[in-house]
Amino acid sequence: MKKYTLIILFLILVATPLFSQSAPAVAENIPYLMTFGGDASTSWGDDDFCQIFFCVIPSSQTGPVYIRVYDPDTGGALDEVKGKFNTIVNFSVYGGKDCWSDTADMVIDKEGTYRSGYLLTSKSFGADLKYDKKWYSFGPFNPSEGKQVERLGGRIFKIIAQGISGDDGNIYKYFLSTSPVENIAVEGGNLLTYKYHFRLSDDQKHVCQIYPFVDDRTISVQVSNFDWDHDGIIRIFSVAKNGILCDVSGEDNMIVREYPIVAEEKNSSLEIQFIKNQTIQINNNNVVIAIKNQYGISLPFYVVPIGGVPVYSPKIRMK
Amino acid sequence: MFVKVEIYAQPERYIVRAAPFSSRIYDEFSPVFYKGGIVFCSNQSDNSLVSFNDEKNRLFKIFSVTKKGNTGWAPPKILAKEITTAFNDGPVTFNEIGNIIYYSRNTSVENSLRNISDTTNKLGIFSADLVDGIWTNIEPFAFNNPLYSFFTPALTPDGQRIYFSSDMPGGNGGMDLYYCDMLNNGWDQPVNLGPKINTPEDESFPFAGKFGRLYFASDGHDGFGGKDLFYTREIEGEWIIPVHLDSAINSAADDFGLVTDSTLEHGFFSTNRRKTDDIFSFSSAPVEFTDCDTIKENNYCFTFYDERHQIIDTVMATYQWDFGDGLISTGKEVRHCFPGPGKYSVRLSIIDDLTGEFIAKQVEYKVELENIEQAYINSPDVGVVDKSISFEGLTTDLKGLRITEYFWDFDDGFIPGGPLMQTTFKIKGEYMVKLGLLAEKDSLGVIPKRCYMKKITIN
Repeated sequence: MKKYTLIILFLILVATPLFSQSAPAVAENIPYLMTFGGDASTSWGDDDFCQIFFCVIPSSQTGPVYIRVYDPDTGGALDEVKGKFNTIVNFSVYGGKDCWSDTADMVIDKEGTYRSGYLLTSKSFGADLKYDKKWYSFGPFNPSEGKQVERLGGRIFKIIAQGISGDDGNIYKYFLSTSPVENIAVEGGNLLTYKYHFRLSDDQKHVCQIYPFVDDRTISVQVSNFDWDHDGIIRIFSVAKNGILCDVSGEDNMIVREYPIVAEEKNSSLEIQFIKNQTIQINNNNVVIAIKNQYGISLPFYVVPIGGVPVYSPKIRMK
Repeated sequence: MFVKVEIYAQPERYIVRAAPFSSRIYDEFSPVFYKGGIVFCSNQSDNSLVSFNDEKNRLFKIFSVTKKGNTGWAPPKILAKEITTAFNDGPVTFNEIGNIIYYSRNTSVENSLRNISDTTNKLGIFSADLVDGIWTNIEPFAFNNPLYSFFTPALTPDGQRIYFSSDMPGGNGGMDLYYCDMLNNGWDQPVNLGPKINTPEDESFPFAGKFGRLYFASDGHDGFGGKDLFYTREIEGEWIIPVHLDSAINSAADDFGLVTDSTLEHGFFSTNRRKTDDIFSFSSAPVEFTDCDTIKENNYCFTFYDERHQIIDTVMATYQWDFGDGLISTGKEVRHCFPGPGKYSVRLSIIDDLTGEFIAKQVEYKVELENIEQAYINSPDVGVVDKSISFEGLTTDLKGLRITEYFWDFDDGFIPGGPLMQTTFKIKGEYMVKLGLLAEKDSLGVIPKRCYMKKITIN
């Protein structure tokens, strides 16, 4: 059965259409990722000041790859200042056999072994105009430096953004590229995280969505969100869910709710949709969202949704 | 040519019993209806015979028996001395009004030639007219031949054709059935009924019933053994393959000489199942229909919904249902009525009210509607006392069944009928009208039986 699952997943990965490998992805309609300094208040939207992303490099990619960060510094117009900019955020890239674990739960727990793996490179950024609204490239990395994970279809690198000090919010985004100077997507590549920290769009018309992948072991998911600030609603779509409403968190609190997973949803992606409050304008809303299965194992959010964007398939009946 | 017929493996539909006037000692056979009674052949003794009494040699005479009271029968007696010979007489046939008789007897009837064992004294057909109660004008059939037998005559109800059996040359072997049509007040040339009817064995004892049915006995067609009774019918000059009568009438013994009413519900036949030839009566056993189904209304109206929507609570979506007939309904549950049975395509689109985008677009659901497999009683639901109501049972949705017989129960027991019936109720109230149906037998030889009922209110 496990082999069967692996084959299915592999086929799904192979069949995935090519997207540009930015995180957040353009299709997600999320403008930026965010990580606050280690001295920040969680009420500003970041519950742990640490964002962990994994890069999937397909086996077909033999040339070097780069992990590019847009606006890695914490300063300037894009980042969120609290008083004066005083924040240092460190970006570290890990490879090697321990950089990813099947029990991915550990990567969320800041107190755990989230920095496992072989440190390939690391750089801390403060307020530095040199990097403001500019791309910084980590690399080159030989794909063979990553961890080979068959079920993910390639080699894995890990990049951790962690607020070391200060209380400002670093607003940034990633791009997995084959070039150090421009964004050229790695064909078949992907990025994923198990706990998504991001900045919502200020535009009330924007609908943001992220895509957790539900494997065949999952019978229910626990969706948790932090500091939503009642900025509209959160809904779940899938092949079998047509907009189930999530409970939403308020200021500086985490809320968790469990939802059943039906057979048709296994080995497919969910779509979690964020629709902003249409009556009250809320700006600079930072959100953290994570999903665990019934075993407490975190489910990955892929920027390129596995199996494609889920389309609800109604089950028409008559009586 | 030898024609096979299928044997009905249907349940017995007749009750048969020995006629009270049929003895256990003597032979009785070939009954015919005559003036409310029965005329038949028998070798039983009769004191009225004056010419001779020859029980030993069992000469057959023509007897008649009349009803006595509602159920009894008077003792049999010789039909008429004037047509009684010292040889074998009978069987007989009468015209519709009973003033002409055709009967078979030995051709030579002089006493000097009387020798029962003489097989050269063939049977011939003779006729007589009833004038002032006396059978007179006895005439031989024009085609009698001393070398061959002509016997068991049977007139059609209109008197325009006579059937008989003969071993004359030109047949299919044994005794064959022939007929002669009336032409210019005389009988035209005999016509052999052909190989569909006549086999190398014997076909005889014809009886021409009403509505064109010709009953006869044969020991050449497949049956239960010995002579069996069949019927056939001439359709556009062709005789249909003989139909074997039910098992209650036919048996492994000889069964022959049948006379019946127009619907084969009541009658008599001859059989030697009790060793001697006897006349048995038959009557159709009442067809019982139990567990009748109430006729159900066909439903073409349904509520459509998204089953997944039932499981989880959704918000802010418009469900748009396109039923392909120009009607579009909105709602998470919608009711739609189709015009009747058929194949339909229902398409559901779900529109996100918040974003205006399709959550699901034109998702198709195929609907195939079939009527309930049943028969229908088409009639008014309400009637009036003493006013005739028409009932029609022709309309059915019974797949693969070809209805052959209709039975109706207007709350007073099942009676045979047709697909169209009329009845009048005498008392106000509610009546459960039932329609019983028999269909052509299935591949296992079983006759399918169905029953449906409908409530009628009489005001």
